[in-house]
Amino acid sequence: MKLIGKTLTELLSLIEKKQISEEETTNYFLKRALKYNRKLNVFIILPNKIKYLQKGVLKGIPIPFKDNFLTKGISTSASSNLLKDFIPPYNSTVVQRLLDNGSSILGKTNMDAWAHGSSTETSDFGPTRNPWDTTRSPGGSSGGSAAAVSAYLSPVAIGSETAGSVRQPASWSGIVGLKPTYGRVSRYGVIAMGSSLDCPGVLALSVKDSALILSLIAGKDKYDATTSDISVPNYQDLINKPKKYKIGIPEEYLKDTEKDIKNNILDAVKIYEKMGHKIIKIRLMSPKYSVSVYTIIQRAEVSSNLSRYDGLRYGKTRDFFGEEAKKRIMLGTFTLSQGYVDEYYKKAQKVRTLIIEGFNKAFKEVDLILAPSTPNTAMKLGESSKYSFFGELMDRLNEPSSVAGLPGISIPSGLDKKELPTSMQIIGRSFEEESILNLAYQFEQETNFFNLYETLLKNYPD
Amino acid sequence: MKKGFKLDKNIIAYLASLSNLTLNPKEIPSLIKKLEETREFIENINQINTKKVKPTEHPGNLKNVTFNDGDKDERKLNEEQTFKNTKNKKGDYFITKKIL
Repeated sequence: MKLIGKTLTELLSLIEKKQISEEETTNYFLKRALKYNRKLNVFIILPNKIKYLQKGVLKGIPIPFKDNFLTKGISTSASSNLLKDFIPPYNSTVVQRLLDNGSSILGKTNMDAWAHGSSTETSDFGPTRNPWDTTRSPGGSSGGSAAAVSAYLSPVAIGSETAGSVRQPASWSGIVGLKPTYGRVSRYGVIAMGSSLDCPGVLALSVKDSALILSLIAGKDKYDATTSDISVPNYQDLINKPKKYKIGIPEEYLKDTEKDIKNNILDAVKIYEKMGHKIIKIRLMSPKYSVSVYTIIQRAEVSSNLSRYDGLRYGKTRDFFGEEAKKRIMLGTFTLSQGYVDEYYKKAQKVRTLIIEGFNKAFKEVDLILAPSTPNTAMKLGESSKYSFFGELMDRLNEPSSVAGLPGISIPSGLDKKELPTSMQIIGRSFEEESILNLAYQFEQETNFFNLYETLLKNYPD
Repeated sequence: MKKGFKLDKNIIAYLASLSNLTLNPKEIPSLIKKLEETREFIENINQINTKKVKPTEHPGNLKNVTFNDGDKDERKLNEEQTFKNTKNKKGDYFITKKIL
């Protein structure tokens, strides 16, 4: 049976019906991963053989994990030379929950070092290449995980987002990227970057698969005090009951967005209108202020989090930090230092309050917000070095909702004139992942995302 | 911020020492340029009036979250696990630089 392009849910159903075996599926993805890794540089660590086939909901299907998720006994470096030899003594909660549900680890995926960036080019192990055009970046920082799904080395992969690091690579790679509410999924065992922002997320071929994985990883974790005890619904069931929504379109997010991305969103709006959803124009604070708030808060938290890397208990010395990490640590140290802390850090925390209030006001009028995920489609490798803070500019449409801790999902909306995938994102109220998944699923069912995967996978045969 | 303020060589050296980073003299000019460009950009938040606004430390606004006494703590590492990743140990101690 041909497995190429099948979603996780479809594969699980085939295993259930005994049309394929767990072993066959595992070997299939391992074979594809080994075949295409040299071309795409998706994995930092890839086993030659996956031993442990387990039963459970996920029936042994292996999942790639971004290299900032601790995996017991398997090297975890966050794509940095500093942690190159580090072997974690325990699993992160997300890894453990998926293993407990019958998954195994396909490998560790490449990322921007320490998750600092939006292109995978700050990785100490070379950039990942975009399966749509290997001269381009897949986006980042979860670029390896996005490319793994895009080239069908796996139907789903785990990534993490501080602001854009799931949605932006999903967007550039033409797949689905789900960033849950801050506190919905445990950060325990995820190498910390910005602790008031970090959030594990899911990259997948389909909305249904994202819903399934979220149901398995979400919920209270006693080892992460910031996780919420709000109960976790069965997201997969809820998306099967299509609802009608009031959808807000923020004009500020369409400014400075490439024409093709904008046009594809306007087409999507027409599709949603036809389905009976109500479209309402709304105003939100300009994303340019969120870029600043995010830059200040994230750098401050980076400078504090990265101070633990002293080379004493694990890892190499601080001389092994790359340029991007040094820049971020130093700017964070600056905005927290005496004389400047009020002007930058505290001021940013106040503007953060205003951003949250702006969203709260909008959500009184509408149920969901629809906007572009990124201002442009995938850029050429090498372009990022022309910008002083490339990541922040690429993620400027994700930063406002990340700063507010809101859930968002990026889904494909078509292609641009360069034949690169375009996308849009749906942002929802805190802990209302079921609504963003519901609206995204309705679009997928209506359009099948314009058969983008089928088009791409012709270039990646078994 | 005083008009004309700019990150310069002295501030960068001070920040590097606070951050426990050793900089290569060759990388300093480019660091100054990039950090200064970022600093200039983030100044735009001063256009926003925040006089009566309270700061947000955390989007969940959590308070007093503690680990329950008596909860089973499966995180504890044994001695072997604790020292497995270090190159600097003596007996069951980590070796550090002198701090006093």
